Amino acid sequence: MNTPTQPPGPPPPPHDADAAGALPADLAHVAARLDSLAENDRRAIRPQFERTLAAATFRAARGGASGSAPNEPPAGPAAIRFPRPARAPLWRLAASLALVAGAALAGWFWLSAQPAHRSTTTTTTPLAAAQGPSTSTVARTIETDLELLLASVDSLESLAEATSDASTLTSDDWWGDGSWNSQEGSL
Amino acid sequence: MPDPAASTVPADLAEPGPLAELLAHAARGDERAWEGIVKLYARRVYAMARSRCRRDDLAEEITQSVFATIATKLGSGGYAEQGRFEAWLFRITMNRVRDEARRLSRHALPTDPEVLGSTAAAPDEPPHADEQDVQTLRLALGSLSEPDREVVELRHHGGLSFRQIADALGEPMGTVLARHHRALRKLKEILESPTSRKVAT
Repeated sequence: MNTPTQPPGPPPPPHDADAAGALPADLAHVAARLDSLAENDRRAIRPQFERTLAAATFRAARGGASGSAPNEPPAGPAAIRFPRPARAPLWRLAASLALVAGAALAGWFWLSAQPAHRSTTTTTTPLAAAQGPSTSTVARTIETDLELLLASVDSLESLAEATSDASTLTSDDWWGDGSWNSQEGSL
Repeated sequence: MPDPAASTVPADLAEPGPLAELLAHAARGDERAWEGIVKLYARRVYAMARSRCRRDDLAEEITQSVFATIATKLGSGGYAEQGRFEAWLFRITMNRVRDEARRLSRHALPTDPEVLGSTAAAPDEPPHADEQDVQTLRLALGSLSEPDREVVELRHHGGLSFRQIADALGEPMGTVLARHHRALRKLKEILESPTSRKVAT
């Protein structure tokens, strides 16, 4: 508990006589103790606080009424502080917007500066192009070549069969063919 | 407040005088009238804040905030004197005190009476008998419900009449009287309980 630092100020007005008189003796004793406690709190006020408070609040109110700048600190002793609503400055908002816009533009430029094939459906990457055809491409090429080769082999076998057949034919086979005759007869 | 060319308030008005006249002069920008108002009420506002917060710096801050509001309202014509200045002043005080109490409660301050009792006094030095009484009474006040405590503090720290308290709280006078009576009864029970005496010693 702080010791009294100032002589008592003006006492508060006396309580209502009717209500105070209505209190029983035991409660009146408690009320008296509360009055004593309140007096203790009133006397604990700092010396010169009332004077500095009056000066500071008066000047602050005058400053507000005369339209002084809102960011200007209120006049008065330094011990007096006034709560001031926090207001974000406009320049900070503008700087934030500019930063976001700059970042968006930079991202857009970076994306547009990339090679066109990166964004197309071609699967060949520059690295793959430098390394040559991919495994799948080679496999497809080999497969195609094999098919062509097999087709060629088939053709050669057919040709060989035809050749061997032709070598075994006699002149009768050539000329005695009924079909030939029938054809001829039909002429 | 308008800038007065010269003080128009008589010298004796700087002392506690007719309130309506003081208010009128202060609203017109008379600094001495404003000083008179501050001198009349600053201690009572401070005492209410100190009783609740138990800290001098917070009590000063609340008092400054209350009088800054009053000065601004008076200067801008936002208050019309109808004999309810004290109810208005202490309603503002009560609201600030409530806000501060709410803010303090969010910071997990010790609320256990035994903890508060042990931290309030210096460990090496036994507290004075009067200090013990004061500490016990503060602990008992802290155990009251919020509405009951407000009535008690407005009555004893603010020095308001029951009619002014009813006006400040916006409640019927019968309710205010009943709360005050109930609060005193509870305080008496707490103060006379063995636990309270143990904490005090």
